[in-house]
Amino acid sequence: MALTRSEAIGLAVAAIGHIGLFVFLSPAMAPAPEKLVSTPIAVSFADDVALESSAPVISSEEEAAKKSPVEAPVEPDSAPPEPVSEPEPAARPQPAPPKPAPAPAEKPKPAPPSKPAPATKPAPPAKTAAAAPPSNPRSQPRRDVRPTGNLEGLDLGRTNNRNNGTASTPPAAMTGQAAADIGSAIQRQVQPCADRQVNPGPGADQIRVVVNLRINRDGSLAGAPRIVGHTGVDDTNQRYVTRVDDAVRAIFAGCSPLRGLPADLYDVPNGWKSFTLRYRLKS
Amino acid sequence: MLFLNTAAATMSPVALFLQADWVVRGVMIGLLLASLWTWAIILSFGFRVGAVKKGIASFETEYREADDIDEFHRRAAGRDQPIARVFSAGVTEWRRSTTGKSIDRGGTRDRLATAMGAAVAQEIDRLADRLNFLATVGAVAPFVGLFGTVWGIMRSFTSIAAEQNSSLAVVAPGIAEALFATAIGLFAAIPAVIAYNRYSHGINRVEQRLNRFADGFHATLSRRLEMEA
Repeated sequence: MALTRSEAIGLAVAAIGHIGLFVFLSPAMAPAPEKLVSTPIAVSFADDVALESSAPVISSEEEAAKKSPVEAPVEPDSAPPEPVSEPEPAARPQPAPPKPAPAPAEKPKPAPPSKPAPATKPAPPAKTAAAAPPSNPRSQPRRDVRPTGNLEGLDLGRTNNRNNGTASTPPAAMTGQAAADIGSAIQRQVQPCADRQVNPGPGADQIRVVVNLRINRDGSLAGAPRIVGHTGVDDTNQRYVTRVDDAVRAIFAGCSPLRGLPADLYDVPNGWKSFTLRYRLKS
Repeated sequence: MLFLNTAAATMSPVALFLQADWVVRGVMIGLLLASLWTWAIILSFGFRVGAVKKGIASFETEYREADDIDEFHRRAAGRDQPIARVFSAGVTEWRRSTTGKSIDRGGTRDRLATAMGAAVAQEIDRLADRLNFLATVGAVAPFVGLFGTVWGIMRSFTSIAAEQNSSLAVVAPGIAEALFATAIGLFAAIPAVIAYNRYSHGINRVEQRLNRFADGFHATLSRRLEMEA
């Protein structure tokens, strides 16, 4: 079985060919392509969690009119969302004529340049800035309000019109922010149980389960978690809904009692005595 | 989704080989060596059969043009070609049989036919020496690869049971590495089968040409035997 010369040549050629094929098929030997690293970011939508807005509602037009002798150039019906921008038209002399606001009042002329009566001036910010309760941290900056020496307007700014101008906001209220904080606190605490759950199948992590928790004051669950509804169910993950529900029940039951929830928000309206949140299995 | 990328990255032969356990690795190495030797045989056979055919053609032409067999034998017998060896076997036997005082013509013819037939058979044996390896690889390599695959899949099922997780990320690498064994087996077997069939056919044709030449030469010698008588 000694190699003849032609066999030796053939063997060499075959070896070269095999090595060439091997290299051709080994993309790993080429410089590795950069890998995309996507670090997950936890995002919580306050609107999703706080199902009811707890921001104070602006006082109605008549009350404002009562308190302020001067009709102010305001947008009466603009709801709380942007209290920051609203003081501006009052403080600036030439506010916003182009705005198609349905302001019933005559146009801003009276107030602007001279600011003659300090007593009349602060009224407009009072009415418009009524949307800026101190409990809402985002509404603070009142940039252009100039000191007038009159505190009446500031007082009015704190009022909640539901009680005709007297401050009615409870010391702790369930704002959207607070609800989001509680929601993420709960999710953080149940995460160890969620990690133990097996993902039922592809697409199951798209299902958002709306789950209602009845919680005792000590953080334990007063009853089994109730599944209120689902979103994100489509044809592909339809069949996993039941298993996702079971997993969610197991997660919340397994990692209660819940610790560290703010005690002062327990029994308030929309407090965490009965807390509804949307939950999603992480993949 | 990230694990799919990494799984795709591990599909290179090196990574598949490194992931496999030692049984599958042994199968892969054996099949790779078989494939190497198969291709060595295929290539060398291509050279050799081509050279043999070319030698036969040129030798037959020279033989037809030659006037004197003894003179042609002196010129051509030393060539390293099957047909030259068959020719010189016939000439050697002829000389041995015709040096005695009394010539047994029938016996001489028989001995000439036997000597040249034996020379042809020996040449064909020498040519076809490596062909059996091609036949073996072609028949056995798929089974060996299949053995590696079955072993690897058994192993990946075991890992499913161990992790209690049937997700694709757990199953896929084991199955890919197992199927790689079958892939190598087929990679070795397919060229071997094709080459075996093709070279068997080529060897048969060479054998027929050698036999025809031997028959013709035998007829020539047989005629001279009658003339000398």
